[in-house]
Amino acid sequence: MLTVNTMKNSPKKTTENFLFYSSLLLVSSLATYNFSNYIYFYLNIENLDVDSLRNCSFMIFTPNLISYIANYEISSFVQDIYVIPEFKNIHCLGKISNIAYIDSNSITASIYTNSKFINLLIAVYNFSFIFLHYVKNLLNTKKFLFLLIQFNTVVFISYFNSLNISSFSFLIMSFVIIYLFKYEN
Amino acid sequence: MKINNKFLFFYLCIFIQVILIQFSTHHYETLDWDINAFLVTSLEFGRGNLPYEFQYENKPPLLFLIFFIFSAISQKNLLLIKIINDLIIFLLSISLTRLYSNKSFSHWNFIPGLTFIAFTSNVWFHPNYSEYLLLVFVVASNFIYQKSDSKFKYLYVGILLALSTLVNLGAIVFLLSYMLIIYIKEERVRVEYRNLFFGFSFVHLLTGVTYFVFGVLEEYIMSFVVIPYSYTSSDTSFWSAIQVFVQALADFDLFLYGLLIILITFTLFKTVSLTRSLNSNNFTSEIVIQIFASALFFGIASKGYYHHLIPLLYFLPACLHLLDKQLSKGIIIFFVVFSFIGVNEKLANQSLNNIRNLQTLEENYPTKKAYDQIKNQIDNNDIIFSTENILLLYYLDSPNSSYIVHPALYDYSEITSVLESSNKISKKEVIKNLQLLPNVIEGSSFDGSLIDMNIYQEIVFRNMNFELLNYWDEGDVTVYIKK
Repeated sequence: MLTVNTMKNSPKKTTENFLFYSSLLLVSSLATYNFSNYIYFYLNIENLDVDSLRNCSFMIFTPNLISYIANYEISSFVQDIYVIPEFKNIHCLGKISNIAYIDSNSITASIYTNSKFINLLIAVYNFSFIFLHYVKNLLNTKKFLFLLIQFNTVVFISYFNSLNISSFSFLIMSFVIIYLFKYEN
Repeated sequence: MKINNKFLFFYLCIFIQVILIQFSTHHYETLDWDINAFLVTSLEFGRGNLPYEFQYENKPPLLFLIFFIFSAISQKNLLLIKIINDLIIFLLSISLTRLYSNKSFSHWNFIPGLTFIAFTSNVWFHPNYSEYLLLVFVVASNFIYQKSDSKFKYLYVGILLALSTLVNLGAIVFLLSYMLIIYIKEERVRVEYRNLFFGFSFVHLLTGVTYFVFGVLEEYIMSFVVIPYSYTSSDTSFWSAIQVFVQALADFDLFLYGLLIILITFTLFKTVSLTRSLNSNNFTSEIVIQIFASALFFGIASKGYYHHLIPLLYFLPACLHLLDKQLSKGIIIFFVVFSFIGVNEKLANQSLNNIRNLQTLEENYPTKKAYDQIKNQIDNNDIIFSTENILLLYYLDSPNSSYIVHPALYDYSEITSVLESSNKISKKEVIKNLQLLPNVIEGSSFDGSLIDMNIYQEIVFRNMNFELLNYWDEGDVTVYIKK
């Protein structure tokens, strides 16, 4: 009983909790923010406001997955945007930069992308958590896997247009490493 | 005896698989004109000259000697030279079975070799690249390292590594890998370093002396030291080059792509675990070090050419010998089997077709056809200037009128600037050679930056009295012969 109490209040447990809940909150907020921007775009698709467009307020999930939004057929183009050192541009990733109405039921949209940044994000997040879990013994396996799956799902859905072969390679590598730690260590 | 038969059966299967893949492109005369340049330069030995003496190609001299031997064995039959390369790939894959594993028979021991064959199945890796030959020497040094108990084994390793650098200078990274291996594994580090460097230096000294005796030491130093240093100073990003290759591999075959990613991850995993115990007994550090050396080989070349990846694609499968669990082995076998299904589906039909038409393959090579038609019109002393399909020089057994053999080199300022400053070529090398009034000009245009097309056409069509002979179907051999 004493041991359990000590564990609960140990600095390691505190760090674990902080890591888990902060990551959970951050990724959930990102998903919510992106989804709300998508809803905003969906509701206003017939009459888009230029200021909102300029402020990167319209999110579009990949037209490779969703090709119709509110009866509009979407054709998309990607437009690379610098995020380093213009860090404020990070929130524009995956958002619509420009839109043109072709006819009453088709539009073309340009989407801001940056593959290098998204790849860096995937690599740093996945490999950091793998390091923390397997080397520093932080987070139990369930929490660790939950965070990893949650983050990668959100990134892959929200920033599909920024993904390239490296993104998929980092994802495969992450799961191969987890396998290796479990079975070949 | 039973074990030997099993080995033989699997070797035969591997050989058939190599043939099924490599033969798919043997109906093409030229896959990469680098090889044509090696062949043309190699004929200098037959004229009693050394490479760089009168003809320049951007590779070390032993490579040309080996190609000269190939030409002699095959009696200048290009198809046979291609088949010799297939045999080298087969031997390299067999070496992956024998290296890093015990002598007892296990099906698993064949998987690394098969993985190497699968990785090199794409046409990108079919030509007789120097990387295959450098691997022969590096693999031989690995055999000596693993199997020899001699106290001079590092001397032999040094000799073999020196020979590999005389095939491709980038092989110097494997000398670095052995320096690291000795540092980690050996107790008498200084003594072994001395043996290694003695063997290595001895071969290079011998080559230097040979060039000195021929009076062309300056050309040797220029070609072997100055130009390679200048050549690697041009840069292509390592990571973007890797990314381009990985994307291309994924487009070619998804299972091969998956296999590559798994192997890279496993190598990184083993590298991290090495930090706990460097001195493991199962060759982990040797394999990991040579994988990193191969990656460095690709990195220092800085060109992003896929064939610079051949050493890496050889050593990555070697790490499969370090897998323990049956489940892991099962996953790898799954990927290898499906890779081969995909690869064979793409290539086997063409290979079988080429095997069926083996007798006529060489006859249909366009440059060979051109050669057969013009050989009687050309005298041994005729000056020949080749700007496009230099293979004609090989069939004619003639040197190029320019010091540069490979036409693409005109576009590498890091090479031409050195050759110009050594007075080996002029600033307007192409025009100079055209003004020499060659008897034969090969090439319909000049795909380089050193000459204006109008000047070229004026010289060829107006000032000289040339007969145009076009060969043929694919329109890639054009020869002008003086009337």
